[in-house]
Amino acid sequence: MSNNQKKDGDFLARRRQLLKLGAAGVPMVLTLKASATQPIHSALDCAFVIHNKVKILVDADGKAWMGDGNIREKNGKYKSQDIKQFKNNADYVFPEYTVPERFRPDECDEGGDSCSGSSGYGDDDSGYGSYGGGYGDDDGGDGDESCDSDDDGGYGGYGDDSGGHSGDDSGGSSSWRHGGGRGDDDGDDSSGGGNGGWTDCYKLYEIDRNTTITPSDYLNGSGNWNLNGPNGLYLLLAGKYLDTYGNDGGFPGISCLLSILNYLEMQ
Amino acid sequence: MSAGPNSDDWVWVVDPDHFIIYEIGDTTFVFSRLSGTTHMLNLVSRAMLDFLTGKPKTLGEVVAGFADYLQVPKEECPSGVVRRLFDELDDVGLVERILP
Repeated sequence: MSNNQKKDGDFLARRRQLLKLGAAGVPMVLTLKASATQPIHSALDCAFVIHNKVKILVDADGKAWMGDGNIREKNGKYKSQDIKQFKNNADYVFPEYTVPERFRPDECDEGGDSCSGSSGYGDDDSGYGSYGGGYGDDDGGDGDESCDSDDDGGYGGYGDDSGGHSGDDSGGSSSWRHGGGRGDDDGDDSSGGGNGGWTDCYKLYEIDRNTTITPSDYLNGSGNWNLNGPNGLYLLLAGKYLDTYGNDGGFPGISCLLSILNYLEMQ
Repeated sequence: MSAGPNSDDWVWVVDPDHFIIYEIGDTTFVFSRLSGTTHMLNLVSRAMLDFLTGKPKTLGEVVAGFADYLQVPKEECPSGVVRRLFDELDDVGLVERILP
């Protein structure tokens, strides 16, 4: 049983590399469960709890906002004013194309109820530059401000770099995190943009408080992700966050997800 | 299973008669006749299994000798890693304590 000791230098180097991964906390033993299609080590059975209700708002471009704000819904449409407030107070914001099409709204009635913009849905004109923590002035909005009655009240910080979280948005790719900065989103929500407007250009996913998510439940027997539903979308966004920021502990469940990804990378 | 604090006096061993072992590349599949479960070991955990086969050792001896067994400097094989690796094998029942 000790023939492994007789291997060559390349073998020793591979083992040495694995030892470094072990020092980093990567599991060294995988246990096959009773079902041969579920090769899951106990250390990969990690789970995490979403303590507070989480809402994920997705637009047709694959942008996503994560937060806990209230969004009224009626006949499959969402209150434009609530959408705007939710976006401005989101805890995390992810750029376009982050969310796969299967999670995006099926259709988007660009006609809206009152004002139609060029895109029919929220328009963060400068793309990535307008995301994240404290973007500042994003004035180039081409939305019809006259339709956007939200700007008239309640959001005094808009369009003003001096706002508390506001930073300088020079058009670069800014942080996805803590998108709640009071940056400007001018021209936004041009579809149905008035206080009374409703839009179906978004899709809202909700995760109840105290929901337990077990990432390995979304792995198939081949080690591929099968993400679906609100929890699957949450894991997808957690993965995107991990790609960008690593395990900084800022995103609930990230450590659990990382342990699984580390394992999968070893295979 | 140690199921609790590990005493320095306790002696551990791997009994190869309790397993069926199959290698595919760098991965070793170990079927435990005792538990009926199959475990996949990489090169490091396989080395630990080999290290504990035959001659019983205390955990202290395992910690002290494993780096040399792997042919790596001790700083690359800290005692905490060795203990955790031992625990991983212990947790799934691949090492057995020899009762006095």
